[in-house]
Amino acid sequence: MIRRFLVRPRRAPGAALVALALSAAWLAGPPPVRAQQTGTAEAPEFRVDLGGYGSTRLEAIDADEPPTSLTLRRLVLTTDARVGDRFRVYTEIEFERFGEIELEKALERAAGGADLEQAVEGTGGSELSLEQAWGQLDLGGGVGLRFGAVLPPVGRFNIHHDDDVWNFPRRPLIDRAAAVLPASAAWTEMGLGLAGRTPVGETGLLDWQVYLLNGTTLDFAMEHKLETRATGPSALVVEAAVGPSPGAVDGSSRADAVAARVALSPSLGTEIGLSGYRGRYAPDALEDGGAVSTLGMDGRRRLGPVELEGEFLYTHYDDLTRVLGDFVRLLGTREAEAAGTGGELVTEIEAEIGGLSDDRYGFWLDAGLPIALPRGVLGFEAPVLVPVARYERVWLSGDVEKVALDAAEGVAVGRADRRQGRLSVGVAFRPVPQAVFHLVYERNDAIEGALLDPGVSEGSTNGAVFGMAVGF
Amino acid sequence: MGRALRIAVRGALAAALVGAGVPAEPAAAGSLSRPASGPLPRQAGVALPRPAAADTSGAARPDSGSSARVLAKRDRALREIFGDPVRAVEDRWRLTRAEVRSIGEEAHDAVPDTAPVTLRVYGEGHRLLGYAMVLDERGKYRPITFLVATGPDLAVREVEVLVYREDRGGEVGSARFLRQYRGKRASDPVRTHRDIVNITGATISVNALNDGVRRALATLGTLYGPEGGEPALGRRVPLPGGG
Repeated sequence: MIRRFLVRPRRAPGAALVALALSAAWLAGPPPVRAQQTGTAEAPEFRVDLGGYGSTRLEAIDADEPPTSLTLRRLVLTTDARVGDRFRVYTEIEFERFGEIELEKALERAAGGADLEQAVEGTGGSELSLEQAWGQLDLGGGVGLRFGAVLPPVGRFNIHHDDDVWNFPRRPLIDRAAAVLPASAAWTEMGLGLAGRTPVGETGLLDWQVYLLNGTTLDFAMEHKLETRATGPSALVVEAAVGPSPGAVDGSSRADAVAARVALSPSLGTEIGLSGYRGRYAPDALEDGGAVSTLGMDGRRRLGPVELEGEFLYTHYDDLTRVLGDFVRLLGTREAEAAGTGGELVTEIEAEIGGLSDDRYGFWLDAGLPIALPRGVLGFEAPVLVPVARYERVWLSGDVEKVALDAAEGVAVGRADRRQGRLSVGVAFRPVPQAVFHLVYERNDAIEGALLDPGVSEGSTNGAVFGMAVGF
Repeated sequence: MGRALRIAVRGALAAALVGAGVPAEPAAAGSLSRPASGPLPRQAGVALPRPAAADTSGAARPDSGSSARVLAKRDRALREIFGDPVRAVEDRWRLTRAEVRSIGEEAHDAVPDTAPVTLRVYGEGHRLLGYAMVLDERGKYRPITFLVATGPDLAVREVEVLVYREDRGGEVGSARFLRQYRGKRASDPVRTHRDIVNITGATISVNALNDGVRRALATLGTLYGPEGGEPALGRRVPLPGGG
């Protein structure tokens, strides 16, 4: 359901943002009038649009894991606020596989003291995140100044990631499950930059974005596991899951990354884009930082009735072994201070690495044949059926699989080359433009090393995915 | 079943052109009601500049194509499309149920406008250059106001977005998208994945324009005859009168 209402903000959305916006507005002067983007209201308009998108899946594969399951894949709620004619604020809040997160705290008297209890309850895999939150000032001439939590313009999927836009129920490997992007899509960073669109000739359009970003950095997430055993001591395992993560938004990470994308569309339905990213991925706690660089090429084209769309990404991590060793050693040293053995419970420390390789590259290519069904089919005004096929492949060269810490032996790094292909063939049905049902057969092949997604021991899997995605 | 026709020479553009010495189409503001099957008296009257704020849609739509700014943009668009000097005559219609049904079937429009406003555009020497309609079609959140202009043969000459109120999907207002509609006729599908190339991320806006163009072509075809040309006098001549 869409709800629209008029609001009059009591104050500007952030003093720094407003100061920057006003400065830029003063420098830019009045923008040229563009009919298609100018409201007709005589007074400045203040309004907020609420919307979003969501997707669900039913998947089954011929492997033991994951089980045949219904998944509430994601629900994203958006607000799009127009603050006057030239200023816009956009936000996205994502609930991913989200059921519940509950925090309980209690302080109770006890004999001779008190009991303090804190517990976090929730459903597995739940994630709540701020996916976008930025303000944009229209500078005129099709150029906007954008500041906030933005989507780095690398490749085409990250910036067009809404589930209802795509005719497949699963995101491409190189953008998500085996990300060649420096962070999995939808990848968000604090950024400041410019975005513009410039007509080229009668039928062309140049679309460009450039940002200064905080950038991805090696980060960790502490995971606690209790491993009980019938014989022998049980173990409390403290695992630091180490991998590249989007930069902090609290001002604690350096703004030392840049990303840009230029896309030329010579005509409707055809576009070719080039994009790149470079930034330091080593955390600031390490003095010597390595850089991560990503290059992307993407595009779309119509060949008669067939629509083709694809993306190629290549990412290289400089000095990965050294940076990783320094980081894990730093992490391990700190944690070792808290390590020890108490009674029958052994405390172990592990570091697990994910998403890091010397080189990562891959591509996906989609083909679709939209067929406009006769009006009235199933009672819909303009339903569309789209037979679809996607082939994708990802290469991970020198993929870091695990780092185990041992005070005596130091850091042990396990590496492997891995390669996976995936073929998806199926059909998408759009009863209305913003809703799609997918039914897709998926074939995964581990060409080298183990499968990346799904993470099973089999060398190949066959599966079916039925999904629904709706924008609203 | 009765029908009323009202006509007035358009406001600002007509006033300017009349003032510039362009001969005015005989016309008068007002309306007459008549039985659907009854004879149609000839139009007579004089050109009357019309206040700019009249409702052109026949329905209470937000920011419908009636505000002074929209009319000014409409005037500019007509000049760009048909060239100077042009003179437009505005016809206001109240359709019969049969006409509404006919337009609805032809345009695949469940609820066509029952009181459309159309424009006849003339050049020098009272030469008919074509027809035009201003429409409001709902985008994802808000109406899109655009103008559909045809030649005398009722083939689309140009479509121009006058006001786009959404924050996303503004590319439907670009010349490279709108040029797809040139030459479209009521018999064409005017539909994405058929003869209109979609814009990813702006599908709802694209469909809104498709719907509007189909509705405009069906309406103009019904009101001015399937082949276009001069209004068939004695059958659909705009009428003077009160109302």
